[in-house]
Amino acid sequence: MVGGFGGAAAVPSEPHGDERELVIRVQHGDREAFDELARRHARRAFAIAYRILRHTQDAEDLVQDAFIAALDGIGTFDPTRPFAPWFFKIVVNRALNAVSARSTRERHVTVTPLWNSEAAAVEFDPAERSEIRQRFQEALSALPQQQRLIVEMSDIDGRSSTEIGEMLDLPRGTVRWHLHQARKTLRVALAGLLEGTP
Amino acid sequence: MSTPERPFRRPMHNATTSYSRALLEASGPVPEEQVDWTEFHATLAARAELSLARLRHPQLADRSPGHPVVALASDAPAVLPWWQHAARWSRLVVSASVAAGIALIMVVRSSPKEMGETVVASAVVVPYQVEGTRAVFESAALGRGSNWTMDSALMPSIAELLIPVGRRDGSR
Repeated sequence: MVGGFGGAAAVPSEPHGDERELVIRVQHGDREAFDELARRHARRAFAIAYRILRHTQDAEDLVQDAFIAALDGIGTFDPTRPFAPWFFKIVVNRALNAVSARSTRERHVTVTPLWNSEAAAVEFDPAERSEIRQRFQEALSALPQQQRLIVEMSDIDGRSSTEIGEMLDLPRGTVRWHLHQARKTLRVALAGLLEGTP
Repeated sequence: MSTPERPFRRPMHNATTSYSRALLEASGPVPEEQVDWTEFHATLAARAELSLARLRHPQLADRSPGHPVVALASDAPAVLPWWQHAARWSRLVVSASVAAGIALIMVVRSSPKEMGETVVASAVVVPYQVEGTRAVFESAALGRGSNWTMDSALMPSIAELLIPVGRRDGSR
């Protein structure tokens, strides 16, 4: 596993008993329960927000706003349901809205910053790495926002289609279709390199 | 990273390997280490305090949404002091009085003729009533009859001018 990837933990389909208790306590205004709930989900929420926003401080602020929004709406939340998908859906929606607002302001495609870690770069020679970077940045930037998020959450963070569907409020089949489309687009971008791969 | 991680998918062949590498290379890691998580949770706890207080006291939050901090500051049930009740009722009474006064003025102005006759009749009746009341009072208190005049009141009577015979002392 390449280090540095957040949010690889599986989202439970049903809430654990203690998490259900936590949610009920938070619904009654328990400060400690909220702190515990926040500590459990903050990092994965940050990972999701960062995948969409591509900005550390913006992602951090957005996760805090999402926690406050979740707290304001937790009175209507059913504690028998898992908290994480509900909360991550808030994060995703807010992040997509932020990206939409940002793109409206800037009206240009932001190139994804390069990853300078040696962990993944060591297996490419410099020329190949440069070409891969360029192709993939172009291909990823060309993907629809939702497809890009789905392929990153699936192929980098290792989330299942069911988990992604719960977060994005999409059927599992739709998630798999978006995933297929995104992979196909990215593989086409890599076609020349793949033909030359031994 | 403190969260548990799922092992990355094992590549099935070279194409998948290149794809995975390229995707990793292009997307990059999530910079969790750049976030001060202690400060993050401290800030979040401070920001969440108001929402948590609303959850602890939903009835107060519904009653005074504009002043939630004041309303939630005390755990005791909200009991208003007497002067607040008085102020509230006085506002009501003053408003009602002003409304009644305006209504009365409108009624008076709407019927000026009838009210004028009433006023004139009162002005005529009142002097006679006062004069009669005074006459009844004086006759009862001083013993004056209907033949009482101002001269009889100022001049001494004949009985008072006569000096009784056989008495040297006039005071008797």
